[in-house]
Amino acid sequence: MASRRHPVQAIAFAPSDSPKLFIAIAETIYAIAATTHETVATWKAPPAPVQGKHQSQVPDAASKIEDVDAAEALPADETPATKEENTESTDVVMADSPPSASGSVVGKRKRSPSAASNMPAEALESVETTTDTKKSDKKTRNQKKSEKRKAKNAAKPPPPPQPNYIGQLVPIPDRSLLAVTTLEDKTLRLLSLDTLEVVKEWVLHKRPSAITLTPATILVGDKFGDVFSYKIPTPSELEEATEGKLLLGHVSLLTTLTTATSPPLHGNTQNGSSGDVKKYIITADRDEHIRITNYPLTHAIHGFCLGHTAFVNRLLITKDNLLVSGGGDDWLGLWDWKAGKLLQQVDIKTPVDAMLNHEDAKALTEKLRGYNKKRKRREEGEPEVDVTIAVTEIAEVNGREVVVVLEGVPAILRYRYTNDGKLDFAGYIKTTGSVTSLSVHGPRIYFGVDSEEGSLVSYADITEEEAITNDFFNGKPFEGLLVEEGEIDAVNERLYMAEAFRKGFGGFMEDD
Amino acid sequence: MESSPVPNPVKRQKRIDFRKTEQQEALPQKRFYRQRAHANPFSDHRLDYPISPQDMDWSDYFPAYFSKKRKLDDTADNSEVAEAAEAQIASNVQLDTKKVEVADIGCGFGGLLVSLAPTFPETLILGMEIRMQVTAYVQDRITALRNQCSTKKEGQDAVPGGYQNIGIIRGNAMKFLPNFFEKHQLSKMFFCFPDPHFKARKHKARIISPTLLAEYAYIIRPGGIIYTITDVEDLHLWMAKHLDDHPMFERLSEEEQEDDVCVKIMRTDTEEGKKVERNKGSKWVACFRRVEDPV
Repeated sequence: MASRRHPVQAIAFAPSDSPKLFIAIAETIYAIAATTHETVATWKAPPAPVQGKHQSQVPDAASKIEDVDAAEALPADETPATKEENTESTDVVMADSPPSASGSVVGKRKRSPSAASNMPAEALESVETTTDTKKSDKKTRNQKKSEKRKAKNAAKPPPPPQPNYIGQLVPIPDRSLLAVTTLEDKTLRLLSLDTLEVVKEWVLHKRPSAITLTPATILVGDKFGDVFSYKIPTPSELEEATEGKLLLGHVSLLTTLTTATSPPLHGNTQNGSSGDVKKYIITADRDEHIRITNYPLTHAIHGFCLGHTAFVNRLLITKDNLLVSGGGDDWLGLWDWKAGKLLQQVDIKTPVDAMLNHEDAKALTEKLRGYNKKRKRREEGEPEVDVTIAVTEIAEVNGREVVVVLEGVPAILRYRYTNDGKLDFAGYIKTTGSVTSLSVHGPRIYFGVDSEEGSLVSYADITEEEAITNDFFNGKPFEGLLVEEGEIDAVNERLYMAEAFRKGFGGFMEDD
Repeated sequence: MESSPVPNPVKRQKRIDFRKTEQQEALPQKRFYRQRAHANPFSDHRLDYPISPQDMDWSDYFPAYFSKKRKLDDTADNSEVAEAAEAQIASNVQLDTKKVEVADIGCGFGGLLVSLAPTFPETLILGMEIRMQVTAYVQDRITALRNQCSTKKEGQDAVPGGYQNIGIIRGNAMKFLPNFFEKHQLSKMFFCFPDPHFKARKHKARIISPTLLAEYAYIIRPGGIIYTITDVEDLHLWMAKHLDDHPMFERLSEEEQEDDVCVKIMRTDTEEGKKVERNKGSKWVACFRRVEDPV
């Protein structure tokens, strides 16, 4: 198989006069009319700016800065050399420093010819070879050693620019807006719901990992654990420059967040404020925590829901105002979130065991772990379970049941409320591949599937006992995106990230 | 990310040998517990922490005050049980009635703990430290001090509390405090000579930050006090500013601060404090009271 179809990584249904389904495939959002299945608008995320220290330097400005850098970076005993080289060296420095390299100027300037030949062709300048031979006799052994090391570092090709993937899509139908996060350029944008034109954008502090709405704001959680709020502008406010406000933070990767309210306590409204309903932000992180924070007084934490033994990845507030949580544990938590009390550990393992035999499940776990090569286990040979479960979606359908998606598993699990308010497994919807995205509207679930054979986007109605899956495009061709064979690993790594949250995978906090 | 240096096998063996030797009452020597001064709070360390405060077995740390939560199997170290029983008899207190009330975050080599112990003999004080070697040192130091007290000779003054009221735990306080402590459990928190993390991009790694203060405010009770001390003026200003700005904390007046015995101990008895003293450096103190919860 030379290429494969890129699955839909984010999906959102927006009800309006002309209801639309928004799907994100890699860097592109498609707005598709729900009735005609025609693509009515598309938007492609702009390429992310190149990372690195020297990114913003234009060539002529660079030469000045490099001079200063060079003088500072050189050890004292080399000052004579500095003088005679300064003029000719600036060209070299500019020419051979890849935009993302952040090594010191000294190292780049004195790179040996052989090391330089490893550089990308466009980065080579003949000038360098001559300056190098001229001063080679001056080099001490130590200098040579450190040069070698530096040359090695500098000879690494700059990381190729990453495609600016769409993170999440959240429609704001009453404002006719679509909130969109993009991962590489770390930006939150508001797009027109009808035309997908960008009407507002905020550059985020860190890479976004979670997004949710309050009536007046968009809350964005990031990989550094912080949550910022961004005011949803009225049409007249669109031109105003506004900034995100830091609300709260975990010292851990923030995986998801949601909001909740609580009925008034003993009808106590003596303050005369309109806030007889208490509001809360509920956040979850990679270190097993679920935190309940007062809103808008986010400096006051209400409590924690502690009980998970692995990362928490998804949260849902049910119609009964209970909290459902899921992540790396083989059960879902059903919580009285206000009291921090775990009411039920909803079994996921048994249904999965019944659906996949052990060998299949094991192969799946291995496959998912293999997708995250950069996050290899630091310590090898450690005993661990060979089959693991990672919840990637939890949604409530029509107040009747809760549907759950597990990473890599080709099914949507259904859980129904029992009379005593608990959740009971109620079968599953079989899919042709793993479910990569899911959005619920009324009794209908829209979902994207990673498979070659089946539909790219399907829907199922949860009205009858048996939920029947239909092709959303109804046989109409949809262009989508083909992934070249060489890119498949990189795409998988972006699509299947949950399993990599499990403890023991190497550090990602430093670089994000 | 920097990785820790490769351990030196010779030194390591010496360390192990030293710790194996019978030294029930001898205080540990720091040279066998050396470790680099910094640890990355963001990376995954191999840590033990309870799922929630209710799951915490404190008997490992305060054997005189807590009964064992987990069942001991046959292979369990009997001396451990004996030791606990002995400690419990010696202290003659009702088990499981107290909770840890004071936390020294980043306690280092434990100077503050050891000084606070006889000052507040009825209060359980926990040191938290992320560096493994340093934690081991403090553990051995506490064990030695407890043993010295229990085999006290005639004519010696008894140390109030017998060092049974201090404990040390290896942990990452920036991530896992809510796993150890319930809402409003603590009355005092100490942040003594924390890592300054000078670079602006490392400020999120500072132990006092606007977002972490919400967590501290959660586990400290109204009226409880956060103590900070540092020899880095920049860091002092940063900590004081963020605590000042945080609605859940108000600064202690100069008089209140100087009257507080903890401030005195913090200035003179922390290991870092002594070092700064020797180098004739400045020490900056700022203390803040946790205000009442918002209505």
